Amino acid sequence: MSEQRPESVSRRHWLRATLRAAALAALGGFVGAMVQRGRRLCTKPGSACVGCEERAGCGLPPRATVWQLDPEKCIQCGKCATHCVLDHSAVRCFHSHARCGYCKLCFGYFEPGTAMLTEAAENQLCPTGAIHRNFVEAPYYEYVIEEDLCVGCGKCVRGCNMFGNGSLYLQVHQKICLNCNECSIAKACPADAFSRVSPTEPYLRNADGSSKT
Amino acid sequence: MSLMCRAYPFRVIVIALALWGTFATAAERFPSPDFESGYVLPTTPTPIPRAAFAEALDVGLLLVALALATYFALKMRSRKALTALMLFCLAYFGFWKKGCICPVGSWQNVFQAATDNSLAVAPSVLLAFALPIAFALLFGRVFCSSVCPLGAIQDVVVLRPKRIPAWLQHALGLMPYVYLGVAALLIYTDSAFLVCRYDPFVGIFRMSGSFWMLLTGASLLLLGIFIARPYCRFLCPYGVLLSWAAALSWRKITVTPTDCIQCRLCETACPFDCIDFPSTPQESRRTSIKRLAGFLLLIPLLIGLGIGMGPHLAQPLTRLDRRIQLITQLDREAQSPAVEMTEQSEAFRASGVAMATLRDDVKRLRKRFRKGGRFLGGFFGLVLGWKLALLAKTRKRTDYEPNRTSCLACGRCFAFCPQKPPRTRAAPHGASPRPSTEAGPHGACLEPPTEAGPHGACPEPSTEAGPHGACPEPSTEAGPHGACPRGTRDSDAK
Amino acid sequence: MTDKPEQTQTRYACARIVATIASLFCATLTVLMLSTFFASRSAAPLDTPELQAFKQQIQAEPENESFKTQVRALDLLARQAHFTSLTALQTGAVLLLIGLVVMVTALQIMRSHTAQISHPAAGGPLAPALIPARYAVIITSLILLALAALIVLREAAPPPQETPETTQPAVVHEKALPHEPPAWPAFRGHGGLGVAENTSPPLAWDGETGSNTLWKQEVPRPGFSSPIVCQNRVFLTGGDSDVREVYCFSAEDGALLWRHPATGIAGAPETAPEVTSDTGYAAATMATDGMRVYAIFASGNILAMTLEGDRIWAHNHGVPENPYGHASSLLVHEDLLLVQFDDDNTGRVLALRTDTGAIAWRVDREVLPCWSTPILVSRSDGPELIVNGNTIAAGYNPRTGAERWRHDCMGGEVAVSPAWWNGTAFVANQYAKLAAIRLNDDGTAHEIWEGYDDLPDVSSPVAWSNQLFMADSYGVVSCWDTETGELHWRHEFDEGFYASPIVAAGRIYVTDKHGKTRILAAANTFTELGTALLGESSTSTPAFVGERVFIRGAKHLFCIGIP
Repeated sequence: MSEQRPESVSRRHWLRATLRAAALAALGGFVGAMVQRGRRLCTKPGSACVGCEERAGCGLPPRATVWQLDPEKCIQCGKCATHCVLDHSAVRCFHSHARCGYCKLCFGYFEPGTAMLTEAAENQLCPTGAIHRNFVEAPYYEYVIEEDLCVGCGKCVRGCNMFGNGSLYLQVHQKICLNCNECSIAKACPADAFSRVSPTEPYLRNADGSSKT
Repeated sequence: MSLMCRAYPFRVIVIALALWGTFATAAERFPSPDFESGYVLPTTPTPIPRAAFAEALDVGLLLVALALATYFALKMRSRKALTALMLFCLAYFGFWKKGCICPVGSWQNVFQAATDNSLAVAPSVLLAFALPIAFALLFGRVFCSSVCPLGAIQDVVVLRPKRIPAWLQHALGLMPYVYLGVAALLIYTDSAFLVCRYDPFVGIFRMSGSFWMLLTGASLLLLGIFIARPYCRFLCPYGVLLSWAAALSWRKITVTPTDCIQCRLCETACPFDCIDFPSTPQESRRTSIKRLAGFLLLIPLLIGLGIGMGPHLAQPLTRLDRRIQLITQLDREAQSPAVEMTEQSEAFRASGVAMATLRDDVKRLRKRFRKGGRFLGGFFGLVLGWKLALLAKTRKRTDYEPNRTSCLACGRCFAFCPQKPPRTRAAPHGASPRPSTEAGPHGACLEPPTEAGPHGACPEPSTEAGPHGACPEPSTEAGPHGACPRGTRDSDAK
Repeated sequence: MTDKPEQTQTRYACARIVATIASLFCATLTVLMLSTFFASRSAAPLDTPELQAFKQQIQAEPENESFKTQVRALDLLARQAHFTSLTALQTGAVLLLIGLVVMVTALQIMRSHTAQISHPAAGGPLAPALIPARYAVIITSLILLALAALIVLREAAPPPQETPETTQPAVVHEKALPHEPPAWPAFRGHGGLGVAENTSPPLAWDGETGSNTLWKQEVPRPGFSSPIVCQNRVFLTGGDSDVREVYCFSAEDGALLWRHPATGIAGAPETAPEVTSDTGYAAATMATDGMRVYAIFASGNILAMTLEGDRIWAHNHGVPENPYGHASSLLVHEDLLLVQFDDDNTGRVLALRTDTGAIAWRVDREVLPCWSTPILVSRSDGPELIVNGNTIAAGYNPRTGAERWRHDCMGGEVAVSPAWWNGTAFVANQYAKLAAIRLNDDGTAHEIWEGYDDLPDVSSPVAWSNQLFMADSYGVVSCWDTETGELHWRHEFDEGFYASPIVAAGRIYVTDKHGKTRILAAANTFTELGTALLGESSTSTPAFVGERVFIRGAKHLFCIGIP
């Protein structure tokens, strides 16, 4: 504007410049320290990402977390189906075949008290018919979940946990989940089963159906 | 005394089985069969989340968008370019990325890690938090202008902005501080991500969500037709951080590309009431200094008061915490057998976690609430005192200029200024000033800027970028341009 | 750039038409989507009442083919409707967004045509209005402060006291204090320790012939609970699936003074819970503090009555879910009624205020169902409640419920109460073990010895004078050294024991299932001092008062004493 600034203006200018430099330095230092802490925490024993093979950690700073639910804590209250911000919830039922007993009478498949063990609609527990029952060999039947039909209500999971091996379980489907910064299902979950996990290990169960936690 | 029967009735076995279910979900009651037909076990799908490069891409795009916004707002001074960038960011960061994780929410993750040594925060989240602040320190709130999807969605519906009286603006301006403080406390106690929980527009970006979330978003947008960007100005907690940074900014956008000629045309330019008018202190310097000193002295008093009241302020907020809700419920159940168990209390009892563990947790938590409450109270005291100190005296101001802290750098005022960019160093080839599309219509209308008022020379109304499209026939004569006071300009020429 | 005014006008008109159409479109779409939204969010597809009703009908009539056809059709329809509405919502959202974009664009175009630069107000720019702003900031802060204060004050105000509902007005006919301390206040006497101080019971009796039997009175309804004695009255509970009752007999002549049915209690189940015949509805023994008597039944009802039989309070604490029926007896400590309530739902120990029945404290325990009765012992730092359980035995402060120690050592269906001698607690159960747990003054507990032979499963052990006596269900009585765990002696009788042994006058009185009471010397060598007959089977533990013994047989209550 003008070459001759009033004294107060230049004083203010100087003060602002100093504070700005300090703020920028503080911000940079903070970011650096936080990145360092991420790397340090990773190499600290026991605090590595859940299920991380190395356990000691890779020493890399963490990635943005994703949500996952712990099937060991899940009580199958049915809120996953209704509380997701998505109309068709990101929580779906998964089936660990390695853990499945291939029962003829599956408590995850049949409505309790069903007289006839057939695939007829009136006998099925699943509200959307998302479980397919296929004969393998006597007396074993295979149960396969059609992901697109599952709404994550957990009715089958409850049946399987109550009377079977617990091979059906609810999980956050990581391709569908939007990873809201605050998960609405986590907020509603009565069992506090949701947690933030690393995207490098986004599931809390192993391939054989055993728990990582 | 009870007599146990030797032969377990079938019922007992069923009950035991059910019990087993609740106590050991991991039980394998039926062994995996050995198939003879050569059946191969299908594998359980493990769909993977988005790849690491997608995170990096987002940060990269944020950086590029911020740089472009800076260039468009400070160098190019083009509302059009800013609008284009804003629409892109709305589409990408809003509708495509579905709003998470955004800088407006990321400060919570960073604050959580800052207050808890056992937590780390991903560099992508850290940068999403730090980059807009760094830019604000250097160039003002360019993030708000066109990068933030929350700002953008409100900006496109600014249709009939009404002026808000200054006193109301100042009163409502306290809300973001309250929101920021409360949200920070709830992060400190690991209770909630309040800003994300009540993010009004994220449901719109996802085109799905709870009814109340969508309704809030829709009503804020409707309100935004008349009160421009209500969330940004009267709620956004991240905006508070950005305004602090912007208060120290190195460069900031200006209404005029050169010198203010006091034409007063920009008085109504800003839909956010962010343009400061010229002012001269009416009272003696002594009086205002005295008042300022009084308010400054009041600050420690207010902080002290806040610290004293803090734990009480935090007390009602404890209700938002899930663990405190749980223990309250458990205690109520213990008080009276008539109280029904909730799913939470039932799940807790089934989890096998000792009540004592929960009690210890809650005890620690309450302590944290009290401590956090003191900080919160102190913060409120400081904010109040500081706000009053800022209002203590009229600062001498000669020109119309955007308020350093509240200006959202949207660039709407550019078109209102009749001045055109200086020729010196403006164009590398010493060519004529930039065409009209960039600096608003007036750049083109003015041959000699001081000759005949900005619009007198305007041969044709330009419809593109400014309000002057409204001057087709009648208003060219009787438009605002006659009002352009030459005298004011002269008096201020330096 | 060089639009003619007509063109501008046309453009404005076009924009207005577009905006109108777009807004109508958006409004219609919004209404449609809202209805779909609520329909899809309200219920899971197959939870419609019609479908559920149909399914139930099918279970009732599995052969009805027409039902099946209907259900299948309905099910298909419901599922299609669900997924169609989901798709409709997604498509609708995209359409709505497009509509809104068009509308906003058109509106912005219209705005650019109508916007006017307003005349600057005459008389120079407005001075920033600092004074109103100042006041606004202060007033807003005050309003916020007032709001906060309001919330805080509401928070600080004590919540309205929920008085537990009593079915009858709490008319209390209490006798003026001080009252006489009860002679035999609970299962296994004072503190539930199984030691009868200052008594000299007879060494022989015969209920059938009437020898040394002062009186014999029929008990109206069956029950396995044991008698308690207070102010010359004997209290018992009995019950069947129809009614559960409290009985009061005169200790002088056995007259039934009053009976009080446990009916009309809020929250009590309408039908009696299922119990097994060997536990019954009234297995738990009552307790008294000398002013009132307290009873608990298999339905989860807990009652307090005056000694005259007037109800003071009664609450239902939920039917205890265990496979046999509730059996843990009550215990009174000062003004608290202590209840072990370990069932399938939650293991818990409750302390109820004896005057109102309100819960004074509650401890949740991670245990499986259990039928044992706690004991109250006195330690150097005050009284302690010792509770056996599956799988943990633990000690609690009876005033606050604070846990003092726990020891994980039990298993199976625990019905046996702990025993106590000189700083050591003894817990035992069949198929688990006998564990001697030393409770140290520093609050820790450790096992000093263990045993695996002749373990009881109903009868509770008793410890006295450095010896631990146990009677098992197969007829073995054994005596152990409390310090070393050394077996002093074991003797096999021909009938098993369900009643618990009681130490009285330096002797062990233990009644077998046939009602034969073995009287042994409470010493480290086996000496049989006498045998007494009841004339009917017995599974309850007798009450010892002065020179008299009250024994409950299968049908009668006997008062034993030398005439």
